[in-house]
Amino acid sequence: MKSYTGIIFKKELLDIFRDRRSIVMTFLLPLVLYPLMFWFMGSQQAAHFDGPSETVIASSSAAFRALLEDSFFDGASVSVVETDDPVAALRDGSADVAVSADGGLFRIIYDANKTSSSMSVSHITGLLSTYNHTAQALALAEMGISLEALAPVSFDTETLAAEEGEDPGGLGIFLSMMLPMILVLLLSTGGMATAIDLFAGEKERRTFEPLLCTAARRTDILAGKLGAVTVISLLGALTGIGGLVLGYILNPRAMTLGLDDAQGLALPPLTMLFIALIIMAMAVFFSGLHILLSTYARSVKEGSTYGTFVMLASYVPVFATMTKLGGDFEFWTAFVPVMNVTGCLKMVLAGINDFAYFGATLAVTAAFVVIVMLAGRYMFKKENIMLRA
Amino acid sequence: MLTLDKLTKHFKAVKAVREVSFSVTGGEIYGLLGANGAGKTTTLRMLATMLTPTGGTASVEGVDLLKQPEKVRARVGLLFGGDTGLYDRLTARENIVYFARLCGKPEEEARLRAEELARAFAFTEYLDFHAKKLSKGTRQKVALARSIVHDPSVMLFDEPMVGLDVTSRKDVEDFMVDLKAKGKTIVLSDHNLNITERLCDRIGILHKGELVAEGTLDELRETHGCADLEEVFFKLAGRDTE
Repeated sequence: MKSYTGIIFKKELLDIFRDRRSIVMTFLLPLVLYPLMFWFMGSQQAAHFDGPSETVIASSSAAFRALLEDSFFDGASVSVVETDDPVAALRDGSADVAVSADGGLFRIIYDANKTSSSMSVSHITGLLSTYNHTAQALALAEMGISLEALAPVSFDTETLAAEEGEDPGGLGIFLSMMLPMILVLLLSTGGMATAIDLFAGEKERRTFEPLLCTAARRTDILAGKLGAVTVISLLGALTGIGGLVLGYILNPRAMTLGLDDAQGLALPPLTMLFIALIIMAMAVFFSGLHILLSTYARSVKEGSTYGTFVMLASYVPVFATMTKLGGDFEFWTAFVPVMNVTGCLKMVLAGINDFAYFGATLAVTAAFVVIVMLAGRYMFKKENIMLRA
Repeated sequence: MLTLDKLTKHFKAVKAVREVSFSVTGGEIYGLLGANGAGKTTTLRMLATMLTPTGGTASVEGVDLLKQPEKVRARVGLLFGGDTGLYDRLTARENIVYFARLCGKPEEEARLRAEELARAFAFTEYLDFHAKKLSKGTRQKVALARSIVHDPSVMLFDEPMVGLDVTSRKDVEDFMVDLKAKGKTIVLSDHNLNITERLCDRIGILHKGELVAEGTLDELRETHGCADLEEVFFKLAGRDTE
């Protein structure tokens, strides 16, 4: 028997690409929004990592002002403003921190709700600690004693991952948190509008009924439409990633949130194959899920409600593992849909190639794809669902 | 030739169509009358294989609805009124070609058929307009063309005049008369009694899923002692029979 899947698939893609709203929402917005979003986040983070350009200290203590005149503080990017009420200067924003003296104790006051003040207090306390340490070492040296000799324990830290070339570093941890989340969210939402339009939308516009009267079998219709929704879902995810890459090209520091340990991600071919297959399977899974709910819906409005539920439900496993690193995923998580995909992505970003986990994830995702497709086929044969209006 | 044999459809407890039997020959227009919910659309949907009958069966040119639904679909054309069910973002040509392709025609043949139908319905200049840009009358013409793109021997019309202006209604009427002249089997479901009187050779009246009367206009008037179809309709399926 002749299959009409290809004809339906091509027509749906043509129809989708003529829908300007879908094009803007799915393809153009990620290209503009992601670079912008990371630009703002990155600028703030970069400022945090670079530290303040100059810390302004309001101080009522002459002793503290005298201390800062020591040559040790030369080039420390610190300036002092003399005032009787340093806290008032802190409050009105003319100073980053306020320092007063209480006998021999310098009291440093800062505003925990201001990033500049929080960063300034770290800067000042760091300088003072180093000053103390240096002064102690010099005094002891004059007495012929080594500062290290006074420490009861000597220690150093080293990461096992570093030995294996898997040290995620600050940027790696950030990417491990953000990228899987963004990718899963893009996959879960990328095909939603299209699925709603192709199923609930067709019901609402009454284009489904003539389609059901053609020689095309219902499985042809389902397969053609599923293919189109999957393509859009994958393209949406790719465009989102493209948005991130574009942002990186335009402003690398902003995109890496001020972290400077960006290194190329070298993936072995087998890992790349697994990840590509897993992402595709995930796209088909989400597309199928949206199609199921959209088929059941009577209208676009009802379809959107169900689609939002899928979107929110997909957040749960993503956010549940947001702070986990690649090495934290136990094998049982490979059997939890969505969570297993974030696990794979985090492993890859950490340089871990656990093929047993990748294989299990692919098998589980493929099994869910089959379940969704069988459910879709069943629903397409149920006339009370197909002709619900 | 279309034959319904005790065709029945139940939706759980609701008996939408109850053992409806009639037959329509080539070159004949059969009018299906009934109030809202009488079972007209359900009957047409069963004949178009969109719904599976709960009982009984029907055949199109001897092909059984239950045994060979694909072959029945190849022989049946269906036109809905009101919303024409066109794809707004496709052109008139693309709409017709798409359905021709889904009825098994090769690409080139489908394109030629679209142009042939556009000439027949006089909308050639609008062939490459997106459907959303077309007037309601032209949309209905495109929908008419689409419904016969596979040259079906049986045409089912479900309230095809809904929302159309006088000119467009005339176009649809002429279209049906033309199909009849070509020997096609036609079933028309419409609330408009005047059109039914004027166009239909025989009329069946459905009431609560049952075919309560059938015959030519004269036979119905005579049998039920009424002056016109409206009187017959109200006597058999109107408010006084509830």
